Amino acid sequence: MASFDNYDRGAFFDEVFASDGAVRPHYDNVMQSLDGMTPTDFGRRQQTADAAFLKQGVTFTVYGDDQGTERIFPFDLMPRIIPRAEWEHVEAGLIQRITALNLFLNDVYHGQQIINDKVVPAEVVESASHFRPAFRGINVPHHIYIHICGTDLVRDDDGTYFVLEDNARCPSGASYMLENRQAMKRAFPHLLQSLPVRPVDRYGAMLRNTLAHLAPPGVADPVIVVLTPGVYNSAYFEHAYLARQMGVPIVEGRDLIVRNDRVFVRTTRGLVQVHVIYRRIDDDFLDPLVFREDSLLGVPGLVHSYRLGHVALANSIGTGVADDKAVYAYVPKMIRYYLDQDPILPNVPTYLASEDADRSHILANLDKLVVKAVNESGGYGMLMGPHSTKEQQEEFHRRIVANPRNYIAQPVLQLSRHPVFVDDHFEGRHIDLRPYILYGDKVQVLPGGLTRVALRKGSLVVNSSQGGGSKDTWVLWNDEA
Amino acid sequence: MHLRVHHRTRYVYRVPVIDSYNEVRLRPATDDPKRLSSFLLCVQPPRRLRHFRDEHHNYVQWFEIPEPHTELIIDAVSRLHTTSQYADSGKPVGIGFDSLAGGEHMDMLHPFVTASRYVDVDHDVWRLAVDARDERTDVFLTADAIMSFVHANWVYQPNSTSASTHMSEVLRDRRGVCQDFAHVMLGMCRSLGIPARYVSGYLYNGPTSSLRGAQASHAWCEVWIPGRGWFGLDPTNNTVADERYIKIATGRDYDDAAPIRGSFSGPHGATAALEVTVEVELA
Repeated sequence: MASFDNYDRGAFFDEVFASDGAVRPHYDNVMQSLDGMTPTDFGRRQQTADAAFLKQGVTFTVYGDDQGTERIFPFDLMPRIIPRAEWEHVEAGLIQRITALNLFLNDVYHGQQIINDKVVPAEVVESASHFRPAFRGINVPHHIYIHICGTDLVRDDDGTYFVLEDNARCPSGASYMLENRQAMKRAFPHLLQSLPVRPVDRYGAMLRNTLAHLAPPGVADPVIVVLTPGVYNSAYFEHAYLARQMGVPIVEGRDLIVRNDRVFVRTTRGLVQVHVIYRRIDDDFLDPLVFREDSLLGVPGLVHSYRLGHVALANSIGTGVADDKAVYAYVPKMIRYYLDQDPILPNVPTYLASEDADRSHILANLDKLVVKAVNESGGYGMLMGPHSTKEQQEEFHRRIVANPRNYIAQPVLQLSRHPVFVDDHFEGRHIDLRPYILYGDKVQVLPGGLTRVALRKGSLVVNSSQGGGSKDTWVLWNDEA
Repeated sequence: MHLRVHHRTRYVYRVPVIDSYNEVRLRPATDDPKRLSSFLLCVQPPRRLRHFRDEHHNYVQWFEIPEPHTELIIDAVSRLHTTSQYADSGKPVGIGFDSLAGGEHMDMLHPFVTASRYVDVDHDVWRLAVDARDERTDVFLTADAIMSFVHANWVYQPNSTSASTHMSEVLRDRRGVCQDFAHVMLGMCRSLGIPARYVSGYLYNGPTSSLRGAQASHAWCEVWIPGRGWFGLDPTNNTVADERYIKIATGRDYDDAAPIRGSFSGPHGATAALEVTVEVELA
């Protein structure tokens, strides 16, 4: 296809083209297929895919937008491809990381050895807004806290993978990953079949097994439900989609009731006991008796039933302390402390505004760093130093001085880029990767993930709420395709 | 071969036990560290792990569980690339017994030519070794003949012995499992002055293997060939230890190289069940 003629690789790590302009071997086949296609042909397939997404309601809502409009998650048809050796490195690093995070959670909710040994400061843990000290001493099923984790990875200008953040509460996006693969199957049925691409469609079954593993002892055929805040939630599509993939009911808080310390779902045939809840609502809204009493989304008595072990929650309560942005800075130390190993996947260097030396560095370099509010996600409350105005920098200066614990800063990474189809040709756009890790009887990483794309030219923000799109991610059985 | 190993050991206790202390040797030992692409040990109840190197340079991880618990699960997952030491130059033949006497490193090898906890070097085992040697003068070919001799004259019989069965008992009853076969071979080799050590690990032989010890913990021997190094021989299967063999620890005998050793405080007979599963698959 002539549409790569003026492709500008830029001074970045390009996923498809090596620095000498040659196509990387794992993209050979896809590039050959694209060669045999006209831009019009490719554009038509793209339109068909977009129409399918809209028709199926693969949408999300943007908060802070008064229109309350649902948007489709923009999808780019050119797949992102990861060769086998690269994936094995990522997979080993993720398994190591979630194992250490789980040990950390078990520790901070029990003896707090890591604090006593002065590896992680007590203030950092105690000031994390998602830390739930009331849950100290509670034993969770199989000692697993994070059952579903979505960890965001980026690559820098030499292609090294870094962990940008862990999402240890309710990571979303798995449904987009699955839908993206469906879209690719429709758009390029032969190409996908002819290449050694590892399937992702086991995700629903894997998720179900992960949840079933949590059922109270003696329950052979557990009743599992997906608990959603409801149809107005930005990820409602995903909640319904995953429930359907697993073949389990989707419920709202008002569909559940606690009787005799057990949780039941109201059905047309009466009350049925629930054993495992895949909850897609935050801790704060789970149970008005324990957390926010104004919450109408939760189930009164749920937490008590959980403490007694009659019902399991995935993820567990209080996992947010592990994906707190200040705690993040300590994860490499945690890996060394708990596993006595070096981290396989490095962190992005992180400055904590709560530390005096780090804070001075941050305040002196607001025009160069990315500043993030610790308790915000989805790209909200963030300052992109090099792209910011003087006023924005001054605003963040004030906020950081007023509440240092709430801010961290990181250098701007030159995120890797990938060709994206724009109008009638390809242009490079920055991408990241969110793989999904499931921690059940064993830890598994689904071979694939959600590749997010910063669709705006030059932008580094890939979040769907900030104008990001996505691509299908092909993990290969081999090193070439 | 690119292999993935998942070794799970699960102890179930009738009553809560306390003060558990465990040492595990579960990390594959590869001559080139790059060939071990990943290794992770995960313990339930979740526990901080630490490691040291023992006197045989084995990688030993240890952990403690002081509080009451009724279950202990130890999961080790590794991914590695194995090669065969025989692939390049074949079997190390051509080295005579004369090279053993006073040869290089022989003082360091002393522990591997003398008796150890489970292995005797006595007249009984020496007589068998002389028969098996059949006047050979080549060190490796003699060890190879001893391997075949043990394989031919001992009966592989699961559950006929225990983890703490001594070689002399195996010599008498002529039956046992891989650990016992290895101990007998060690005693025979040592009685002739061939340094020999115990190896614990795994064996891959395809998803439907007929080899003994496949899809389980396995044990075999290594013999020292002067000027060439240690070479693996498996008396249980009468074969050289090639790329299907995954080594995790070595030592004088089982006592040095046991994959898991631990103790706890609890009443007699507290252990209700011990389950071990090993999956070795192509990765």
